[in-house]
Amino acid sequence: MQLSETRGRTGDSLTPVARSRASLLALLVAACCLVAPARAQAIAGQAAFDQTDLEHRARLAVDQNLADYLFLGTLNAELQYSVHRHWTLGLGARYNNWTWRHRQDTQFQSRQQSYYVGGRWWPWYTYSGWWAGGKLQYQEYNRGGIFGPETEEGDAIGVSLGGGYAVHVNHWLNVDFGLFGWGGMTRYVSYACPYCGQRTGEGVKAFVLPDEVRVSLQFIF
Amino acid sequence: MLKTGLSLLLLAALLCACGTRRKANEVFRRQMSASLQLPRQADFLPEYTDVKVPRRDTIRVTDLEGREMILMKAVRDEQSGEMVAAEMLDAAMVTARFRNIAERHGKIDLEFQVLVPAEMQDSHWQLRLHPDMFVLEDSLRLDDIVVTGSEYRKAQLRGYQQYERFLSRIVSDTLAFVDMRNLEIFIERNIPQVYALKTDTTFVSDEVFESYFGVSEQEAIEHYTNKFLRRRNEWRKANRQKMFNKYIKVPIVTEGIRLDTVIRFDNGAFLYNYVQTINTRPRLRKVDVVLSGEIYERDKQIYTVPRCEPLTFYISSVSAFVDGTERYKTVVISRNVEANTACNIDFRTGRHDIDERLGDNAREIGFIKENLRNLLLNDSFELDSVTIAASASPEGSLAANNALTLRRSQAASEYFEKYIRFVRDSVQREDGLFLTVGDDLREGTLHGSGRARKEIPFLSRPGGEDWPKLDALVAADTLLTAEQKARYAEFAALENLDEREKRMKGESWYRYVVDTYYPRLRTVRFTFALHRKGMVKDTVHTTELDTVYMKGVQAIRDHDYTAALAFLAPYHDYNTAVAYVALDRNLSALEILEPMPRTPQIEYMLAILYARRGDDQAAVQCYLNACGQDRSFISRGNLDPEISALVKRYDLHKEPDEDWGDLIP
Repeated sequence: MQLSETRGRTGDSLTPVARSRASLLALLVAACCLVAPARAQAIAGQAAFDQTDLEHRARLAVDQNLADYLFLGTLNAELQYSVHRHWTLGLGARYNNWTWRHRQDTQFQSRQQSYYVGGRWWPWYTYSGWWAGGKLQYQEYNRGGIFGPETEEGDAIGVSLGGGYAVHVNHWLNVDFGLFGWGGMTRYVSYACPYCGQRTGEGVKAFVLPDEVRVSLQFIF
Repeated sequence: MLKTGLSLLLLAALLCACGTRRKANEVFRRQMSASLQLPRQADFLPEYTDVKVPRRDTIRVTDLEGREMILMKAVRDEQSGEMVAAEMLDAAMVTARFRNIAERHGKIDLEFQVLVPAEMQDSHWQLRLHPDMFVLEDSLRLDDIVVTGSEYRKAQLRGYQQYERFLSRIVSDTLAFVDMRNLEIFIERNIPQVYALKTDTTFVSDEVFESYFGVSEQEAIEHYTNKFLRRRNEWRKANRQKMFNKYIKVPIVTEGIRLDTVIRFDNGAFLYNYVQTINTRPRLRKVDVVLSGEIYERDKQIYTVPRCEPLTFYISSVSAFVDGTERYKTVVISRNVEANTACNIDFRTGRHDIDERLGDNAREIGFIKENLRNLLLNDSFELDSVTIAASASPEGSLAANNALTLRRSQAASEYFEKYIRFVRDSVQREDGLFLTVGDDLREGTLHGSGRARKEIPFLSRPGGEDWPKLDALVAADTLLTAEQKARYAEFAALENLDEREKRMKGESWYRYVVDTYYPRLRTVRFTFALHRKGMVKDTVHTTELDTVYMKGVQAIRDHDYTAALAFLAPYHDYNTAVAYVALDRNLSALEILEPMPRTPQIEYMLAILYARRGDDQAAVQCYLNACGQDRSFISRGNLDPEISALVKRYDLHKEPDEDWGDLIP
């Protein structure tokens, strides 16, 4: 009985909640991808420019991190808005509800839903070149079976710091490279393996971990 | 295998270096030097023959006493004891240290050979030879001769290649350092107003447009410029000279070099024919040429080539024949002289008194006063009288104008007579009084200096209306049309001058003529009658130096024959012929000289002219005649190549001091 409860928590507890949120997030991402090039094309063909347009020019960016997609299909999206020549503020989310090789001995997963708000400092100009950033992040996670059978789930909150370089592709698209690491506190439960349900520990602890590798398509509006 | 190859290469390099070092030591030990020598005479002698004529083996001449002689190359046959004709071959090498050369057209061609022995040549060396010319008290460095070894030149070229590579990396377009792709995207994204003008040639200051956060296009360009590359490029630009010196230790010099030759193979001694043309100058008789130099290995001088023995060129010039005798021309001098001047003294209409304040009268009167004073105090001339004739414009009747001009002449006479009295008084005050005392000191007389004491009569004449001057002014006018001038000419035919003026008043151009020319007709004309002081006869024939002719003579002395001919051509005399000879205008010179009495100089110049024409017989005859009259022409003959060739060809003075006795009385 105890085993079945444990199994239920490690394998299924996130699923019903995360599915509905994932659908919303997927819709948002798709909408962003469609809108970005259409707007950009319209601007490119505009010969005479209205000075008032500048106010809204190249200030909003939507990011899609391809590295997250490659990492077990984590859906993600980030919005940034430039508030100063050197500063952008942003918020974003990551969502992964996938369990791989489910209920097999080799099961692995990095299920999560993460939400964050933060900012970036651009030494030259927003969305151009080098940047350094930080964000405040909440994450509910369940990961295990990737580098070993140990599995941990919990709720983490912390600060993520990182930096990177935004490469111009054209006037409406960047490829944004970056690395983030984060640290904070987590209330966790650890298990001996992803599927067996054998608890090995629980509690609250501090942590410092890699957070994110960014190879991101950054659409600029 | 590799080791063996490297060892062999090292050994070869060592042997090569040792060979060059040994050669340098040998050059230093023997104090070797490049030398100067003269080219073969046959190559050197100019060919003056206008018409090619066969040279004679034997020529027949007569001496001054009418004795006939046969001249030919001959040697005495040892067996028979008779003289037999012989032809001598020229030697292959001339070792003489001097040569006689002729100046022609004011220029001299110095021709010599530079000889560099094989021992002084090496593929790793460069010989820099400096010919120096000594002319009168000046010395002049002629263009260098550079003999470069092949390895030496290779090293030079290698340096140039390295430097070229360095230069090729210098970017002149500063936009090359700008990341144009990113800049363009940035501008398109953030300063779209500027991007919209991308294909527009209208000049718009980039300060007009900025991004939302205040970044201008210029700032963007600066940001997207690669600073490191730009700094490196600036460094390269700034260090061009330094890198030139680093890569090119010994530059290949092209300025001031007559020859820079690369010796690729060991071909023995190096010989270069050097020809230097110089302008002659007065007193130039001799030019010395010497040779010095250095041997360089890489960028270091390893040997100083000692100065060689000088080569001497003796210059012959026909300017020596110039006749410097002063030439005079006859000039006829009259006792009485007349000088005229006119001035525009303004009179009020109908008035005849002189008002100094009217118009430009002060300046005009001042001019006349100055003339009068100069004539009055002139040392050579005595002022006898002054005639004053005022003239008027045609306005008014002729009779009235005649009367008016007479009154004006009289007024001017009175005015200037007063001035003469004033000058006379001031001169006498200035000179003071002289006391002449007799020999016994008992009697003495007081008198003035005598300057400007003579009374000058002023004669007044009515000038009337000055129609002839008006005719001349209208004819020279450029604004009147041909029809208007023709109309004026019609009126000019009228004898009645009042009628003529009346008719003119009806013409459209009358006002123009009145305004433009009438004021110029109201003049006062002064005629000064003078005579030469101390001259009794009306005319005297005298001579004075013909300065034009003497300028021509001086030009010959200065070897400027073209200028000399410009002065002397009209005189068609002996000096003209000298200029013609110098300029090689032989027919013109012959035309003058042939009819002239035969002085030694004329005979000698004829000899030159005949020799140039290929007429050896006449040339030798004239030359012998010249030498017969003046023995200095024997040595002079050696200086002129035309005569020198004759002497050599016909053996005219093989032993000058002995053999000439037979030919020259």
